[in-house]
Amino acid sequence: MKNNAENNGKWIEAFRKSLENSEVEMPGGMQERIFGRRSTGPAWALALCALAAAIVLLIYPRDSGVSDFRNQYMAAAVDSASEHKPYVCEEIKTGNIPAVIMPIEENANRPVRKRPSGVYEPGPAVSHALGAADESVHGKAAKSESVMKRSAVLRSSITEGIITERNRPSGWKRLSDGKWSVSLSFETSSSADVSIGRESGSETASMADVQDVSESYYIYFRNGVPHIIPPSYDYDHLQPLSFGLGIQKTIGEGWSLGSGITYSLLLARVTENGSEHMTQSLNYIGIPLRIRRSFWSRKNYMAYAGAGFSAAYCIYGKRGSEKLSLNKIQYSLDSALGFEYRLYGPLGLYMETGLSYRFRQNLPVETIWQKNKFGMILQIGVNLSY
Amino acid sequence: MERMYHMIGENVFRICLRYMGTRFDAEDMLQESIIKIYSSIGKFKWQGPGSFRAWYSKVTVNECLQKLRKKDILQDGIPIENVDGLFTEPEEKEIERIPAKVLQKMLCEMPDGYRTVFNLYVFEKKSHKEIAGILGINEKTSSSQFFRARKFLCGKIEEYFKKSDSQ
Repeated sequence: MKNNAENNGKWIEAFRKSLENSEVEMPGGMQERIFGRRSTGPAWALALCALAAAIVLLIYPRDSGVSDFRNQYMAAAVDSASEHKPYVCEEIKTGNIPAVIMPIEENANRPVRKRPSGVYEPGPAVSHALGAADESVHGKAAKSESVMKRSAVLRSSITEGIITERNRPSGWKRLSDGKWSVSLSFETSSSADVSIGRESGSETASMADVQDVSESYYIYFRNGVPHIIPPSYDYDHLQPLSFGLGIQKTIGEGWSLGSGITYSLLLARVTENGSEHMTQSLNYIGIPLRIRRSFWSRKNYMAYAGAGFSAAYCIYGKRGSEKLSLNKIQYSLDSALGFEYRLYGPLGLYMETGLSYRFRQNLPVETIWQKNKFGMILQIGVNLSY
Repeated sequence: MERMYHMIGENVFRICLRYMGTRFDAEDMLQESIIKIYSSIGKFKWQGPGSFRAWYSKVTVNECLQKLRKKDILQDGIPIENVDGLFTEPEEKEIERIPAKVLQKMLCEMPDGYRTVFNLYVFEKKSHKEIAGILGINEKTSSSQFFRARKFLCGKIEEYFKKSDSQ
C-alpha cells in the first residue's frame, strides 16, 4: 500500500464499485412479512376438520360377545390341530357332556387357517370339532332341551359368523366391531378446458389504485402519470390429478367416517399477451373429511354413497419461472357413489364417481378448479381393512 | 406488488445493509423501505432510464437515515488524531483483490456515525455541506467523520492483507 494523496479517490471509487452491485443473500420469508397475509379460511371449517380427525383417531373398537367366544373356540381348534391331543372346551361344557375336539390324524400337522382380518375359515379340525360337538350332544343319552338348544345356538352362531365373514367384503365386515381401513387412491376430474383471460388495455390509475394494484397488472409511467395495464392470459388447463392416502373408521351399521391426506397437481399451459408461452403448475395438499353409507352388498361386492368436505392449500406454485404464492385455502364439497370389490382377505378395490363443488377464491391466477367450480370426479383405489 | 419486490428488493437490501451495519437491522429496514416505496410510488416521475432506481434508492437511504438519527449516531466513534499521513491508503488494485463480502463486512464493522457519512459521501455522492444539512451537523464534523471512516477502513484492509499473507 502506498501513502499517496492522488490515490485517495481511486481506492474509494474501487471500493464503491465493488459494493454497489455486489450479490446479497436476501432474507427468507420477507414477502410474507411485507405482504402479510395468510388466509386460514373460516374458523368453523377448520374446527370441523380438526374434530373429524379427532373422532376418527380416538374411537376405539368395540368387542362383541360372539367374537370373544369365537376367538376362544378358534384358539382351542388351533391348539388341538397342532398338539394332537383332545381339548375340552370349557364354554361348551354343560352338565356332564363336554364337547370334545379331536384332531384329524391325517391332517394333524396342518394348522387351522386364519384370515389376517380375523375372519375365520374353518379348517378340518374345526369342521370335525363341530361334527364332534354335535355328536357329543346329540349322540349321547342326554338330550335335554337346554343342552340341545345351547348347542344349536352355538353352532348357528359359529357357522353364521363364519359364513357371514367369508362372504362379507373387506372394509365393511362386522360393522359393529368398529374396524379400521386404510386406502390409497388416484383421482382425476372432468376434462380440461380452454379459457381466454382478461383482454389487454390500459387505463389511467389514481395514486390509490397504484398502491392497491395486484401483481397481475403492470404499472406503466407516462409523463409521470401511472397507468395500469392488465396482461392477457390464455389458459389451456390440463386434467387435474390427485393422489391420496385415506383412513376410515366404521361408526355404525353401514356407516363410516373417513379422512386422510391428498396431493393434487393442477397444470395449465399459459400464453401471456398472445406470445409468451409458459407452464403453470400448482401443487395442493388437502385434507378431506367424508362420511359413507353402504346400501347394497352381495358376496364380494358392495355399493355405497358418500358426501364430504375438503380443504386444500397450495404448497408450491409456479408460472414460467415465477413462483406463485397463493396463500389461500381451497374449500370444496364432494359427493360420491362408489363400488367396492373384495380381492382377497383384507384387500379390496374400489371405484367411485361423483360431483365436486369448489368454492370461489379470488386468486391472482386462473385454475381449473376456479374455472369449473362443478366437476365430475373419478377415483380408483385399494382398501385394506384390519 | 410482489413482482416489484422481486425487481427492486435486492438493491434495496444492499443499501440497507450498507447503512445499518447488521443484517438484523437491515432486514427491518428492508421491510420498512419497501412499504414506503409502495406507499409513495405515486410521487415518482419518470425521467428516463435509471430514474426509478435512483428514486427508490433515495427513498431507502432516507428511511435508513431516519432510523439512524434516532440512534444518535454521531456520538459513536473512536477518538482519533486528525493528522494526515498516519495511515497508509490502499491502491485501487488491492481493493479489487478483496471479495465484496469482505468489504461489506468491513463497512458493517465501522461505527454508525462514520459509516453514515462514508455512505453519503461515497455512494450518494453528497458534499460535506449537503451531508451536514442532512444529518444536522456542521461541515467540519462531516469531514472529520469521513476521515475517520477512511482510516478505519484502511486499518481493516491492512489487517486483511496481513492475515492473507500469513496464510
